Amino acid sequence: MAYVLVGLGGALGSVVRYSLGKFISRKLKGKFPYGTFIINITGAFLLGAVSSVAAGTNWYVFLAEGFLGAYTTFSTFMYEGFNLFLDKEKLNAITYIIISLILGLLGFELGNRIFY
Amino acid sequence: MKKYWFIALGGVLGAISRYYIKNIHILPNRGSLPINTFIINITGSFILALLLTAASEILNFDENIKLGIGTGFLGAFTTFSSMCKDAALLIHSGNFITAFSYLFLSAIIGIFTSYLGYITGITVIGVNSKKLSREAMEEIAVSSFEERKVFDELNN
Repeated sequence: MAYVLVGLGGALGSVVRYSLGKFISRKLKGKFPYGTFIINITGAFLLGAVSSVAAGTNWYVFLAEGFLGAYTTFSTFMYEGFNLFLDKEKLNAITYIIISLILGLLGFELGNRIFY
Repeated sequence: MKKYWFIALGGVLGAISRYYIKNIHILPNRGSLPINTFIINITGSFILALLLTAASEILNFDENIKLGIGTGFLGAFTTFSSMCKDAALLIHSGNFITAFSYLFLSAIIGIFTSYLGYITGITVIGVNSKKLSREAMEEIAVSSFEERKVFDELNN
């Protein structure tokens, strides 16, 4: 049963990540990968929220393990960071990576506390 | 549009794979070390870099298949949010050094494995294209990246 929830959330999370990511990239042009950045930070925030509100329930499995796990992505994050290095955009690369990690952690904390 | 089905299917499989691996007990006294997610994220990063570098050279890589595997499967397989939660939980239990090491190592090793994926991708291109000079192989990798950017722009 858990796997059904995870799979369903996974399908939705991936499609939303793709659509939203494309939408954001169109609106915010430039070298900085705003799409993945915004998606990962919002995903971390939402995971914080879901973790405090729905821990241990099937909703958690669906929303957190399924949807948010698929909505956020580490591989794309790394690949984009790597490509920034490859494009000689060292400052953008380091900024992207460090700010993502910091805001991701803070985002999770905020989401976790805000509904507590 | 057909591509969404490919992405969705990849997402189903990626999420399920991640969930399955996450629940395997690798270390006997794992405690709160998020080693499963770490392994998932690192291997996913390697495969994605390899895929996107060499996709245009590996057989006739259908764009939908590339989206399904890259955006769909690997995007869902790897996770940023879980990593943040792992670090937060470590901090809450007082393991500050472990928390920051985890994030730092994920990033450093993640970038490095992306680089390895890129190099492997170039090698695949070289093997596929038979006896190319190192410069020519890199040019193909760069131009396939440029092609992809143009393709992305056309599609947006």
